[in-house]
Amino acid sequence: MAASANKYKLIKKLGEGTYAVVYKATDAQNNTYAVKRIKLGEFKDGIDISAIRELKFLQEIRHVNVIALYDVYSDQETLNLVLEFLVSDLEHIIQDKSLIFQTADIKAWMLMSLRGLHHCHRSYIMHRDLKPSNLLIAADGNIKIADFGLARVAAYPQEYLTPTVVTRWYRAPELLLGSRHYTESVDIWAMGAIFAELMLRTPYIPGASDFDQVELTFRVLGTPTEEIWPGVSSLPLYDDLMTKITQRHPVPPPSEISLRFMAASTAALNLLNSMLEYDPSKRPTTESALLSPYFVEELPRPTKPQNLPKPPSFSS
Amino acid sequence: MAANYWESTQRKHWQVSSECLSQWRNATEERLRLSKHPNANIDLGDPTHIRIFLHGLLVKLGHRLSCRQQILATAELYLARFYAKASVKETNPYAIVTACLYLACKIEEYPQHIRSITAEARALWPDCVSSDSTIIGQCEFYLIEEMGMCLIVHQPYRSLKQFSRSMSDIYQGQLIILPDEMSCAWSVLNDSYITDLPLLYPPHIIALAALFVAVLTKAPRGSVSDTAVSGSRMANLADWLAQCGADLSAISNCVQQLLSLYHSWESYRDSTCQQIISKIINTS
Repeated sequence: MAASANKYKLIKKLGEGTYAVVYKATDAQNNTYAVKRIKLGEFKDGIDISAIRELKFLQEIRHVNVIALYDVYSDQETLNLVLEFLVSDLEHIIQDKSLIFQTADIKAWMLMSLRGLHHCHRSYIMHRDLKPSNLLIAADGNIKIADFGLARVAAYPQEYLTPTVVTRWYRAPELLLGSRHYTESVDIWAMGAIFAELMLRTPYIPGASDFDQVELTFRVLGTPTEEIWPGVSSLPLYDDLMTKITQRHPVPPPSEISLRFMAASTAALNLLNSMLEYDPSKRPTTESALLSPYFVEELPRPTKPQNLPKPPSFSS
Repeated sequence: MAANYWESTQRKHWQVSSECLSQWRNATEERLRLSKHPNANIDLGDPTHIRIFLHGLLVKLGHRLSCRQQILATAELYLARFYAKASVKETNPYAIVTACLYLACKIEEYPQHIRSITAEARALWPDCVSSDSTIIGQCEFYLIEEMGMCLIVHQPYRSLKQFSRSMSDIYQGQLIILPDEMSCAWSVLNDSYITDLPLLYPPHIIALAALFVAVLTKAPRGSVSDTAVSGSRMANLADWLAQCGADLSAISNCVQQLLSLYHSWESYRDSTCQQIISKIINTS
Protein backbone atom coordinates (compact mmCIF):
# COMPACT_ATOMS: atom_id res chain seq x y z
CA MET A 1 0.00 0.00 0.00
CA ALA A 2 2.22 2.79 1.24
CA ALA A 3 5.61 2.99 -0.38
CA SER A 4 8.77 4.16 1.27
CA ALA A 5 9.76 7.78 1.06
CA ASN A 6 13.08 7.20 -0.69
CA LYS A 7 11.52 5.49 -3.68
CA TYR A 8 10.85 8.86 -5.31
CA LYS A 9 13.32 11.65 -5.97
CA LEU A 10 11.83 15.15 -6.06
CA ILE A 11 13.37 17.11 -8.92
CA LYS A 12 11.69 20.47 -9.03
CA LYS A 13 8.73 22.35 -7.69
CA LEU A 14 5.92 22.60 -10.25
CA GLY A 15 3.42 24.63 -8.31
CA GLU A 16 1.86 25.40 -4.99
CA GLY A 17 -1.79 25.36 -3.99
CA THR A 18 -3.61 26.15 -0.77
CA TYR A 19 -3.11 22.73 0.74
CA ALA A 20 -0.29 21.14 -1.25
CA VAL A 21 2.98 21.66 -3.07
CA VAL A 22 3.48 19.72 -6.29
CA TYR A 23 6.88 18.45 -7.39
CA LYS A 24 8.14 16.73 -10.48
CA ALA A 25 9.72 13.47 -9.35
CA THR A 26 11.33 10.33 -10.70
CA ASP A 27 11.79 6.79 -9.45
CA ALA A 28 14.75 4.42 -9.89
CA GLN A 29 13.47 3.34 -13.33
CA ASN A 30 13.46 7.02 -14.35
CA ASN A 31 9.68 7.21 -14.70
CA THR A 32 8.35 10.70 -14.21
CA TYR A 33 5.62 11.51 -11.67
CA ALA A 34 3.99 14.48 -10.04
CA VAL A 35 4.28 14.21 -6.26
CA LYS A 36 1.72 16.21 -4.31
CA ARG A 37 2.92 16.91 -0.78
CA ILE A 38 0.05 17.80 1.51
CA LYS A 39 0.79 20.56 3.99
CA LEU A 40 -0.14 19.73 7.52
CA GLY A 41 0.65 23.03 9.23
CA GLU A 42 1.89 21.33 12.43
CA PHE A 43 -1.50 19.59 12.75
CA LYS A 44 -3.14 22.72 14.10
CA ASP A 45 -6.20 22.50 11.88
CA GLY A 46 -6.18 18.86 10.90
CA ILE A 47 -5.78 17.84 7.28
CA ASP A 48 -7.49 20.08 4.76
CA ILE A 49 -10.81 18.62 3.60
CA SER A 50 -9.92 19.17 -0.06
CA ALA A 51 -6.79 17.06 0.41
CA ILE A 52 -8.88 14.41 2.13
CA ARG A 53 -11.42 14.38 -0.71
CA GLU A 54 -8.73 14.10 -3.35
CA LEU A 55 -7.08 11.24 -1.51
CA LYS A 56 -10.30 9.37 -0.81
CA PHE A 57 -11.60 9.44 -4.38
CA LEU A 58 -8.36 8.96 -6.30
CA GLN A 59 -7.61 5.88 -4.20
CA GLU A 60 -10.78 4.23 -5.53
CA ILE A 61 -11.10 5.38 -9.15
CA ARG A 62 -9.11 3.94 -12.04
CA HIS A 63 -9.88 5.15 -15.56
CA VAL A 64 -7.82 6.16 -18.56
CA ASN A 65 -9.48 9.59 -18.49
CA VAL A 66 -9.04 10.26 -14.78
CA ILE A 67 -5.66 11.23 -13.32
CA ALA A 68 -3.99 8.14 -11.87
CA LEU A 69 -2.84 7.94 -8.27
CA TYR A 70 0.03 5.45 -8.45
CA ASP A 71 1.21 5.44 -4.90
CA VAL A 72 0.99 7.09 -1.51
CA TYR A 73 3.58 7.46 1.23
CA SER A 74 4.30 9.52 4.30
CA ASP A 75 7.56 11.08 5.35
CA GLN A 76 8.53 13.71 7.91
CA GLU A 77 4.89 13.89 8.90
CA THR A 78 3.76 14.74 5.38
CA LEU A 79 1.30 12.81 3.21
CA ASN A 80 2.45 12.38 -0.37
CA LEU A 81 0.37 11.46 -3.38
CA VAL A 82 2.30 10.05 -6.33
CA LEU A 83 0.29 11.11 -9.37
CA GLU A 84 0.54 10.72 -13.09
CA PHE A 85 2.76 13.44 -14.56
CA LEU A 86 0.77 15.48 -17.08
CA VAL A 87 2.17 17.98 -19.49
CA SER A 88 -0.64 20.43 -20.19
CA ASP A 89 -4.30 21.19 -19.71
CA LEU A 90 -7.22 22.13 -21.87
CA GLU A 91 -7.17 25.77 -20.75
CA HIS A 92 -3.64 26.21 -22.18
CA ILE A 93 -4.66 24.53 -25.40
CA ILE A 94 -7.74 26.71 -25.78
CA GLN A 95 -5.75 29.87 -25.11
CA ASP A 96 -2.88 29.00 -27.47
CA LYS A 97 -4.10 30.86 -30.53
CA SER A 98 -1.38 29.31 -32.70
CA LEU A 99 -3.32 26.04 -32.54
CA ILE A 100 -6.15 25.38 -34.95
CA PHE A 101 -8.99 23.13 -33.76
CA GLN A 102 -10.79 20.85 -36.21
CA THR A 103 -14.33 19.68 -35.49
CA ALA A 104 -12.92 16.19 -34.92
CA ASP A 105 -10.47 17.50 -32.30
CA ILE A 106 -13.23 19.06 -30.23
CA LYS A 107 -15.18 15.85 -30.48
CA ALA A 108 -12.19 13.88 -29.20
CA TRP A 109 -11.67 16.15 -26.17
CA MET A 110 -15.39 16.03 -25.35
CA LEU A 111 -15.49 12.26 -25.78
CA MET A 112 -12.54 11.65 -23.45
CA SER A 113 -13.79 14.08 -20.83
CA LEU A 114 -17.29 12.61 -20.83
CA ARG A 115 -15.88 9.08 -20.58
CA GLY A 116 -13.85 10.04 -17.54
CA LEU A 117 -16.86 11.81 -16.06
CA HIS A 118 -19.06 8.80 -16.80
CA HIS A 119 -16.72 6.68 -14.72
CA CYS A 120 -17.00 9.15 -11.83
CA HIS A 121 -20.78 9.29 -12.05
CA ARG A 122 -21.26 5.55 -12.22
CA SER A 123 -19.16 5.39 -9.06
CA TYR A 124 -21.64 7.88 -7.49
CA ILE A 125 -19.06 10.68 -7.45
CA MET A 126 -19.87 14.28 -8.43
CA HIS A 127 -16.77 16.24 -9.43
CA ARG A 128 -18.20 19.73 -8.79
CA ASP A 129 -15.27 21.65 -10.24
CA LEU A 130 -15.05 20.84 -13.94
CA LYS A 131 -13.33 23.52 -16.00
CA PRO A 132 -10.73 23.50 -18.77
CA SER A 133 -7.81 23.90 -16.35
CA ASN A 134 -8.90 20.75 -14.50
CA LEU A 135 -8.92 18.70 -17.68
CA LEU A 136 -5.26 17.79 -17.90
CA ILE A 137 -3.58 16.39 -20.96
CA ALA A 138 -1.09 13.55 -21.03
CA ALA A 139 1.86 13.31 -23.40
CA ASP A 140 -0.11 10.78 -25.48
CA GLY A 141 -2.93 13.29 -25.89
CA ASN A 142 -5.38 11.67 -23.47
CA ILE A 143 -7.56 13.89 -21.29
CA LYS A 144 -7.31 13.27 -17.55
CA ILE A 145 -9.89 14.68 -15.16
CA ALA A 146 -8.04 16.08 -12.15
CA ASP A 147 -8.56 17.99 -8.90
CA PHE A 148 -11.09 16.13 -6.78
CA GLY A 149 -10.82 18.67 -3.97
CA LEU A 150 -14.52 19.60 -4.26
CA ALA A 151 -15.81 16.17 -5.23
CA ARG A 152 -18.36 14.35 -3.14
CA VAL A 153 -20.54 11.30 -3.11
CA ALA A 154 -23.94 11.82 -4.74
CA ALA A 155 -26.31 12.84 -1.99
CA TYR A 156 -29.41 11.22 -0.57
CA PRO A 157 -32.51 13.23 -1.47
CA GLN A 158 -32.87 14.65 2.05
CA GLU A 159 -29.22 15.66 2.39
CA TYR A 160 -28.29 19.33 2.22
CA LEU A 161 -25.50 20.28 -0.16
CA THR A 162 -23.59 23.51 -0.44
CA PRO A 163 -24.39 25.50 -3.58
CA THR A 164 -21.00 27.24 -3.50
CA VAL A 165 -19.24 24.77 -5.77
CA VAL A 166 -17.85 24.88 -9.30
CA THR A 167 -15.77 27.76 -10.62
CA ARG A 168 -18.14 30.60 -11.54
CA TRP A 169 -18.16 30.47 -15.35
CA TYR A 170 -19.04 26.77 -15.31
CA ARG A 171 -21.62 26.95 -12.52
CA ALA A 172 -25.04 25.48 -13.28
CA PRO A 173 -28.10 27.76 -12.83
CA GLU A 174 -29.51 25.73 -9.93
CA LEU A 175 -26.29 26.48 -8.02
CA LEU A 176 -26.47 30.15 -8.95
CA LEU A 177 -30.01 30.19 -7.56
CA GLY A 178 -28.81 28.65 -4.29
CA SER A 179 -30.21 25.12 -4.61
CA ARG A 180 -29.36 22.85 -1.66
CA HIS A 181 -30.35 19.73 -3.54
CA TYR A 182 -28.65 18.97 -6.80
CA THR A 183 -27.22 16.03 -8.67
CA GLU A 184 -24.44 14.99 -11.05
CA SER A 185 -26.18 17.16 -13.65
CA VAL A 186 -24.15 20.14 -12.35
CA ASP A 187 -21.13 18.42 -13.94
CA ILE A 188 -23.05 18.04 -17.21
CA TRP A 189 -23.75 21.79 -17.28
CA ALA A 190 -20.04 22.47 -16.70
CA MET A 191 -19.17 20.11 -19.57
CA GLY A 192 -21.67 21.99 -21.73
CA ALA A 193 -19.95 25.29 -20.93
CA ILE A 194 -16.59 23.69 -21.74
CA PHE A 195 -18.00 22.34 -25.03
CA ALA A 196 -19.11 25.88 -25.98
CA GLU A 197 -15.71 27.24 -24.98
CA LEU A 198 -13.90 24.72 -27.19
CA MET A 199 -15.93 25.92 -30.16
CA LEU A 200 -15.69 29.65 -29.35
CA ARG A 201 -12.10 29.57 -28.06
CA THR A 202 -13.27 31.94 -25.34
CA PRO A 203 -15.42 31.34 -22.21
CA TYR A 204 -19.13 31.20 -23.09
CA ILE A 205 -20.63 32.75 -19.94
CA PRO A 206 -17.77 34.65 -18.21
CA GLY A 207 -19.55 36.46 -15.37
CA ALA A 208 -17.49 39.08 -13.52
CA SER A 209 -19.14 38.33 -10.16
CA ASP A 210 -21.60 35.80 -8.80
CA PHE A 211 -24.43 38.22 -9.46
CA ASP A 212 -23.16 39.04 -12.94
CA GLN A 213 -22.95 35.30 -13.65
CA VAL A 214 -26.71 34.98 -13.10
CA GLU A 215 -27.47 38.02 -15.20
CA LEU A 216 -25.18 36.90 -18.00
CA THR A 217 -26.54 33.35 -17.98
CA PHE A 218 -30.06 34.77 -18.39
CA ARG A 219 -28.92 37.09 -21.17
CA VAL A 220 -27.19 34.27 -23.05
CA LEU A 221 -29.81 31.55 -22.56
CA GLY A 222 -32.97 33.46 -21.69
CA THR A 223 -34.62 34.13 -18.35
CA PRO A 224 -35.85 30.81 -16.92
CA THR A 225 -39.58 30.46 -16.24
CA GLU A 226 -41.72 27.86 -14.48
CA GLU A 227 -42.72 26.69 -17.92
CA ILE A 228 -39.25 25.72 -19.09
CA TRP A 229 -37.96 24.86 -15.62
CA PRO A 230 -40.65 23.66 -13.21
CA GLY A 231 -39.71 24.55 -9.63
CA VAL A 232 -37.32 27.37 -10.50
CA SER A 233 -39.34 29.99 -8.64
CA SER A 234 -39.07 28.11 -5.35
CA LEU A 235 -35.26 28.03 -5.37
CA PRO A 236 -33.76 29.93 -2.39
CA LEU A 237 -32.33 32.95 -4.24
CA TYR A 238 -34.94 33.21 -7.00
CA ASP A 239 -37.17 35.95 -5.56
CA ASP A 240 -34.25 38.05 -4.45
CA LEU A 241 -32.45 37.81 -7.80
CA MET A 242 -35.60 38.43 -9.81
CA THR A 243 -36.26 41.72 -8.04
CA LYS A 244 -32.69 42.80 -8.73
CA ILE A 245 -32.68 41.69 -12.35
CA THR A 246 -35.54 43.59 -13.94
CA GLN A 247 -34.86 42.86 -17.57
CA ARG A 248 -36.40 39.62 -18.90
CA HIS A 249 -34.75 37.87 -21.82
CA PRO A 250 -36.52 35.47 -24.18
CA VAL A 251 -35.00 32.06 -24.72
CA PRO A 252 -32.91 32.42 -27.89
CA PRO A 253 -34.30 30.47 -30.86
CA PRO A 254 -32.14 27.67 -32.33
CA SER A 255 -31.31 29.89 -35.31
CA GLU A 256 -29.66 32.41 -33.01
CA ILE A 257 -27.69 29.77 -31.14
CA SER A 258 -26.43 28.34 -34.42
CA LEU A 259 -25.23 31.82 -35.40
CA ARG A 260 -23.11 31.88 -32.25
CA PHE A 261 -21.52 28.55 -33.18
CA MET A 262 -21.07 28.93 -36.92
CA ALA A 263 -18.98 25.81 -37.46
CA ALA A 264 -21.11 23.52 -35.31
CA SER A 265 -23.20 20.77 -36.85
CA THR A 266 -26.83 20.18 -35.89
CA ALA A 267 -25.82 17.14 -33.84
CA ALA A 268 -23.23 19.20 -31.97
CA LEU A 269 -25.74 21.98 -31.29
CA ASN A 270 -28.37 19.52 -30.10
CA LEU A 271 -25.95 18.02 -27.62
CA LEU A 272 -24.75 21.45 -26.48
CA ASN A 273 -28.29 22.74 -25.99
CA SER A 274 -29.29 19.66 -24.02
CA MET A 275 -26.27 19.94 -21.71
CA LEU A 276 -27.11 23.59 -21.05
CA GLU A 277 -30.79 22.92 -20.30
CA TYR A 278 -32.05 25.04 -17.42
CA ASP A 279 -34.02 22.16 -15.91
CA PRO A 280 -31.37 19.80 -14.45
CA SER A 281 -33.63 16.80 -15.02
CA LYS A 282 -33.70 17.49 -18.76
CA ARG A 283 -29.92 17.45 -19.12
CA PRO A 284 -28.51 14.19 -20.47
CA THR A 285 -26.62 11.77 -18.26
CA THR A 286 -23.02 11.05 -19.23
CA GLU A 287 -24.30 7.86 -20.82
CA SER A 288 -26.97 9.47 -22.96
CA ALA A 289 -24.53 12.23 -23.94
CA LEU A 290 -21.98 9.63 -25.03
CA LEU A 291 -24.67 7.83 -27.02
CA SER A 292 -25.94 11.00 -28.71
CA PRO A 293 -25.79 11.22 -32.54
CA TYR A 294 -22.87 13.66 -32.19
CA PHE A 295 -20.65 10.80 -31.03
CA VAL A 296 -22.23 7.69 -32.51
CA GLU A 297 -23.57 8.75 -35.92
CA GLU A 298 -22.19 11.98 -37.18
CA LEU A 299 -18.89 12.27 -39.04
CA PRO A 300 -16.08 13.13 -38.66
CA ARG A 301 -14.93 10.52 -36.17
CA PRO A 302 -13.04 11.99 -33.20
CA THR A 303 -9.32 12.60 -33.73
CA LYS A 304 -7.02 9.98 -32.21
CA PRO A 305 -5.50 11.35 -28.97
CA GLN A 306 -1.93 11.30 -30.31
CA ASN A 307 -2.95 13.38 -33.34
CA LEU A 308 -4.63 16.19 -31.39
CA PRO A 309 -3.24 19.74 -31.60
CA LYS A 310 -0.41 20.33 -29.13
CA PRO A 311 1.43 23.47 -28.10
CA PRO A 312 5.00 23.71 -29.48
CA SER A 313 6.50 23.39 -25.98
CA PHE A 314 4.67 20.09 -25.53
CA SER A 315 7.10 17.40 -24.51
CA SER A 316 6.98 14.39 -22.26
CA MET B 1 -21.03 4.80 -0.54
CA ALA B 2 -18.82 5.71 -3.44
CA ALA B 3 -17.16 3.59 -6.05
CA ASN B 4 -17.41 -0.11 -6.48
CA TYR B 5 -16.80 -2.54 -3.63
CA TRP B 6 -15.28 -5.18 -5.88
CA GLU B 7 -12.56 -2.81 -7.04
CA SER B 8 -12.26 -0.97 -3.75
CA THR B 9 -9.22 -0.45 -1.57
CA GLN B 10 -11.28 -2.12 1.16
CA ARG B 11 -11.38 -5.37 -0.77
CA LYS B 12 -7.80 -5.06 -2.04
CA HIS B 13 -6.07 -3.96 1.17
CA TRP B 14 -8.40 -4.18 4.12
CA GLN B 15 -10.04 -7.55 3.85
CA VAL B 16 -7.58 -10.02 5.25
CA SER B 17 -7.41 -13.55 6.60
CA SER B 18 -7.59 -14.18 10.32
CA GLU B 19 -3.99 -15.50 10.08
CA CYS B 20 -2.90 -12.16 8.69
CA LEU B 21 -4.69 -10.31 11.49
CA SER B 22 -2.96 -12.40 14.18
CA GLN B 23 0.33 -11.82 12.42
CA TRP B 24 -0.19 -8.06 12.57
CA ARG B 25 -1.11 -8.25 16.23
CA ASN B 26 1.83 -10.49 17.14
CA ALA B 27 4.18 -8.14 15.32
CA THR B 28 2.82 -5.20 17.32
CA GLU B 29 3.26 -7.07 20.63
CA GLU B 30 6.77 -8.05 19.59
CA ARG B 31 7.61 -4.45 18.72
CA LEU B 32 6.38 -3.22 22.10
CA ARG B 33 8.38 -5.91 23.89
CA LEU B 34 11.60 -5.22 21.97
CA SER B 35 11.33 -1.47 22.43
CA LYS B 36 10.71 -2.06 26.15
CA HIS B 37 7.56 -0.01 26.00
CA PRO B 38 6.47 0.82 29.59
CA ASN B 39 3.03 -0.69 28.92
CA ALA B 40 4.29 -3.81 27.15
CA ASN B 41 3.45 -6.07 30.07
CA ILE B 42 0.10 -4.63 31.06
CA ASP B 43 -2.61 -7.28 31.00
CA LEU B 44 -5.56 -6.03 28.97
CA GLY B 45 -7.78 -8.88 30.07
CA ASP B 46 -10.38 -10.11 27.61
CA PRO B 47 -9.58 -8.33 24.30
CA THR B 48 -13.28 -8.32 23.42
CA HIS B 49 -14.01 -6.31 26.57
CA ILE B 50 -11.53 -3.63 25.55
CA ARG B 51 -13.18 -3.50 22.14
CA ILE B 52 -16.62 -3.12 23.75
CA PHE B 53 -15.21 -0.29 25.83
CA LEU B 54 -13.77 1.53 22.80
CA HIS B 55 -17.03 1.05 20.90
CA GLY B 56 -18.84 2.63 23.84
CA LEU B 57 -16.54 5.66 23.75
CA LEU B 58 -17.09 6.13 20.05
CA VAL B 59 -20.87 5.86 20.23
CA LYS B 60 -20.96 8.30 23.15
CA LEU B 61 -18.94 10.98 21.40
CA GLY B 62 -20.74 10.34 18.12
CA HIS B 63 -24.14 10.93 19.72
CA ARG B 64 -22.88 14.05 21.43
CA LEU B 65 -21.90 15.41 18.01
CA SER B 66 -25.26 14.28 16.52
CA CYS B 67 -23.46 12.18 13.92
CA ARG B 68 -25.52 10.24 11.43
CA GLN B 69 -25.30 6.49 11.72
CA GLN B 70 -23.20 6.32 8.56
CA ILE B 71 -20.52 8.54 10.11
CA LEU B 72 -20.45 6.34 13.19
CA ALA B 73 -20.05 3.25 11.05
CA THR B 74 -17.17 4.79 9.12
CA ALA B 75 -15.47 5.83 12.36
CA GLU B 76 -15.98 2.32 13.79
CA LEU B 77 -14.25 0.77 10.82
CA TYR B 78 -11.36 3.26 11.07
CA LEU B 79 -11.01 2.32 14.72
CA ALA B 80 -10.97 -1.39 13.89
CA ARG B 81 -8.37 -0.84 11.17
CA PHE B 82 -6.16 1.29 13.39
CA TYR B 83 -6.10 -1.21 16.24
CA ALA B 84 -5.41 -4.03 13.82
CA LYS B 85 -2.04 -2.37 13.20
CA ALA B 86 -1.39 -0.71 16.56
CA SER B 87 -1.91 -1.70 20.18
CA VAL B 88 -4.16 -0.04 22.71
CA LYS B 89 -1.15 -0.13 25.02
CA GLU B 90 0.81 2.41 22.98
CA THR B 91 -1.97 4.93 22.42
CA ASN B 92 -4.47 7.12 24.18
CA PRO B 93 -7.70 5.44 23.01
CA TYR B 94 -9.75 8.54 23.85
CA ALA B 95 -7.67 10.59 21.41
CA ILE B 96 -7.78 7.87 18.76
CA VAL B 97 -11.56 7.54 19.05
CA THR B 98 -11.87 11.31 18.69
CA ALA B 99 -9.59 11.32 15.65
CA CYS B 100 -11.59 8.48 14.04
CA LEU B 101 -14.78 10.49 14.39
CA TYR B 102 -13.07 13.68 13.28
CA LEU B 103 -11.87 12.03 10.08
CA ALA B 104 -15.13 10.14 9.50
CA CYS B 105 -17.05 13.43 9.76
CA LYS B 106 -14.88 14.88 7.00
CA ILE B 107 -15.20 11.81 4.81
CA GLU B 108 -18.98 11.78 5.17
CA GLU B 109 -19.16 15.53 4.47
CA TYR B 110 -20.19 16.61 7.97
CA PRO B 111 -16.99 18.47 8.84
CA GLN B 112 -16.38 19.52 12.45
CA HIS B 113 -13.79 22.00 13.54
CA ILE B 114 -10.88 20.26 15.20
CA ARG B 115 -11.08 22.57 18.21
CA SER B 116 -14.79 22.02 18.72
CA ILE B 117 -14.54 18.24 18.45
CA THR B 118 -11.64 18.32 20.92
CA ALA B 119 -13.76 20.42 23.27
CA GLU B 120 -16.68 17.97 23.01
CA ALA B 121 -14.39 15.04 23.76
CA ARG B 122 -12.96 16.91 26.73
CA ALA B 123 -16.44 17.63 28.01
CA LEU B 124 -17.04 13.87 28.15
CA TRP B 125 -13.59 12.83 29.38
CA PRO B 126 -11.84 15.84 30.95
CA ASP B 127 -9.05 13.73 32.46
CA CYS B 128 -8.30 11.71 29.35
CA VAL B 129 -8.26 14.20 26.47
CA SER B 130 -5.83 17.09 26.22
CA SER B 131 -7.16 20.56 25.41
CA ASP B 132 -4.40 20.78 22.80
CA SER B 133 -6.20 19.97 19.55
CA THR B 134 -2.93 19.41 17.68
CA ILE B 135 -2.87 16.01 19.39
CA ILE B 136 -6.09 15.07 17.58
CA GLY B 137 -4.48 16.39 14.39
CA GLN B 138 -1.48 14.15 14.98
CA CYS B 139 -3.72 11.16 15.66
CA GLU B 140 -5.57 11.89 12.42
CA PHE B 141 -2.27 11.73 10.58
CA TYR B 142 -1.24 8.42 12.21
CA LEU B 143 -4.68 7.03 11.54
CA ILE B 144 -4.48 7.87 7.83
CA GLU B 145 -0.95 6.51 7.73
CA GLU B 146 -1.84 3.20 9.42
CA MET B 147 -4.79 2.78 7.10
CA GLY B 148 -2.48 3.10 4.10
CA MET B 149 -4.49 6.19 3.15
CA CYS B 150 -7.52 4.10 2.21
CA LEU B 151 -10.47 6.19 3.35
CA ILE B 152 -13.63 5.06 1.57
CA VAL B 153 -15.31 2.21 3.38
CA HIS B 154 -18.17 -0.05 2.41
CA GLN B 155 -20.77 -0.88 5.04
CA PRO B 156 -23.23 -3.75 5.41
CA TYR B 157 -26.36 -1.67 6.15
CA ARG B 158 -27.34 -1.11 2.53
CA SER B 159 -26.90 -4.83 1.75
CA LEU B 160 -29.19 -5.62 4.67
CA LYS B 161 -31.97 -3.48 3.20
CA GLN B 162 -31.47 -4.96 -0.26
CA PHE B 163 -31.60 -8.54 1.01
CA SER B 164 -34.75 -7.93 2.97
CA ARG B 165 -36.40 -6.47 -0.13
CA SER B 166 -35.31 -9.28 -2.42
CA MET B 167 -36.49 -11.86 0.08
CA SER B 168 -40.01 -10.53 0.20
CA ASP B 169 -40.02 -10.51 -3.61
CA ILE B 170 -38.98 -14.13 -3.88
CA TYR B 171 -41.10 -15.56 -1.07
CA GLN B 172 -44.10 -13.33 -1.61
CA GLY B 173 -45.20 -13.10 1.96
CA GLN B 174 -43.77 -16.33 3.31
CA LEU B 175 -40.51 -14.81 4.36
CA ILE B 176 -40.93 -11.17 5.09
CA ILE B 177 -38.41 -9.78 7.50
CA LEU B 178 -40.48 -8.34 10.34
CA PRO B 179 -39.76 -4.79 11.55
CA ASP B 180 -38.61 -6.27 14.83
CA GLU B 181 -36.13 -8.55 13.12
CA MET B 182 -34.93 -5.76 10.87
CA SER B 183 -34.13 -3.46 13.76
CA CYS B 184 -32.50 -6.34 15.59
CA ALA B 185 -30.33 -7.11 12.52
CA TRP B 186 -29.46 -3.43 12.37
CA SER B 187 -28.17 -3.39 15.94
CA VAL B 188 -26.29 -6.63 15.33
CA LEU B 189 -24.52 -4.77 12.52
CA ASN B 190 -23.74 -1.92 14.91
CA ASP B 191 -22.19 -4.46 17.26
CA SER B 192 -20.29 -6.26 14.51
CA TYR B 193 -17.64 -3.49 14.60
CA ILE B 194 -16.58 -4.72 18.01
CA THR B 195 -15.49 -7.98 16.38
CA ASP B 196 -12.93 -8.56 13.64
CA LEU B 197 -15.68 -9.31 11.11
CA PRO B 198 -15.40 -6.02 9.17
CA LEU B 199 -11.71 -6.78 8.59
CA LEU B 200 -12.34 -10.38 7.55
CA TYR B 201 -15.49 -10.48 5.45
CA PRO B 202 -17.21 -8.44 2.73
CA PRO B 203 -20.14 -6.30 3.91
CA HIS B 204 -22.85 -8.43 2.29
CA ILE B 205 -21.72 -11.56 4.14
CA ILE B 206 -21.86 -9.69 7.46
CA ALA B 207 -25.32 -8.41 6.55
CA LEU B 208 -26.56 -11.95 5.89
CA ALA B 209 -25.09 -13.16 9.17
CA ALA B 210 -26.80 -10.34 11.05
CA LEU B 211 -30.09 -11.23 9.41
CA PHE B 212 -29.65 -14.82 10.45
CA VAL B 213 -28.85 -13.87 14.05
CA ALA B 214 -31.90 -11.58 14.12
CA VAL B 215 -34.33 -14.20 12.85
CA LEU B 216 -32.81 -16.70 15.27
CA THR B 217 -33.06 -14.52 18.36
CA LYS B 218 -36.40 -12.89 17.56
CA ALA B 219 -38.11 -16.22 16.89
CA PRO B 220 -41.16 -16.68 19.12
CA ARG B 221 -40.60 -19.30 21.77
CA GLY B 222 -43.03 -21.12 24.00
CA SER B 223 -45.92 -23.07 22.59
CA VAL B 224 -45.46 -25.96 20.20
CA SER B 225 -47.08 -24.03 17.34
CA ASP B 226 -44.68 -21.11 17.90
CA THR B 227 -41.73 -23.43 17.61
CA ALA B 228 -43.13 -24.87 14.40
CA VAL B 229 -43.63 -21.40 12.90
CA SER B 230 -40.14 -20.23 13.79
CA GLY B 231 -38.71 -23.55 12.61
CA SER B 232 -40.25 -23.06 9.19
CA ARG B 233 -39.04 -19.43 9.06
CA MET B 234 -35.51 -20.56 9.77
CA ALA B 235 -35.84 -23.25 7.12
CA ASN B 236 -37.09 -20.70 4.61
CA LEU B 237 -34.22 -18.39 5.45
CA ALA B 238 -31.67 -21.19 5.13
CA ASP B 239 -33.25 -22.14 1.84
CA TRP B 240 -33.06 -18.57 0.58
CA LEU B 241 -29.42 -18.24 1.67
CA ALA B 242 -28.55 -21.41 -0.22
CA GLN B 243 -30.42 -20.16 -3.28
CA CYS B 244 -28.61 -16.87 -3.44
CA GLY B 245 -25.32 -18.71 -3.67
CA ALA B 246 -23.73 -16.94 -0.74
CA ASP B 247 -20.72 -18.46 0.98
CA LEU B 248 -22.49 -20.42 3.72
CA SER B 249 -19.37 -21.34 5.66
CA ALA B 250 -18.35 -17.67 5.80
CA ILE B 251 -21.83 -16.76 7.04
CA SER B 252 -21.80 -19.43 9.70
CA ASN B 253 -18.36 -18.26 10.80
CA CYS B 254 -19.71 -14.73 11.18
CA VAL B 255 -22.75 -15.96 13.09
CA GLN B 256 -20.49 -17.80 15.51
CA GLN B 257 -18.30 -14.77 16.10
CA LEU B 258 -21.36 -12.60 16.70
CA LEU B 259 -22.83 -15.07 19.16
CA SER B 260 -19.56 -15.34 21.03
CA LEU B 261 -19.43 -11.54 21.22
CA TYR B 262 -22.78 -11.55 23.00
CA HIS B 263 -21.59 -14.33 25.25
CA SER B 264 -18.50 -12.36 26.20
CA TRP B 265 -20.59 -9.21 26.71
CA GLU B 266 -22.41 -10.85 29.63
CA SER B 267 -19.26 -10.68 31.74
CA TYR B 268 -18.31 -7.17 30.60
CA ARG B 269 -17.65 -4.53 33.27
CA ASP B 270 -17.19 -0.97 32.13
CA SER B 271 -15.26 0.06 35.25
CA THR B 272 -12.69 -2.73 34.86
CA CYS B 273 -11.81 -1.61 31.34
CA GLN B 274 -11.75 2.00 32.36
CA GLN B 275 -9.19 1.22 35.05
CA ILE B 276 -6.95 -0.64 32.62
CA ILE B 277 -7.11 2.20 30.07
CA SER B 278 -6.42 4.84 32.74
CA LYS B 279 -3.31 2.93 33.75
CA ILE B 280 -2.15 2.95 30.12
CA ILE B 281 -2.78 6.65 29.63
CA ASN B 282 -1.01 7.57 32.84
CA THR B 283 2.19 5.70 32.09
CA SER B 284 2.55 6.69 28.44
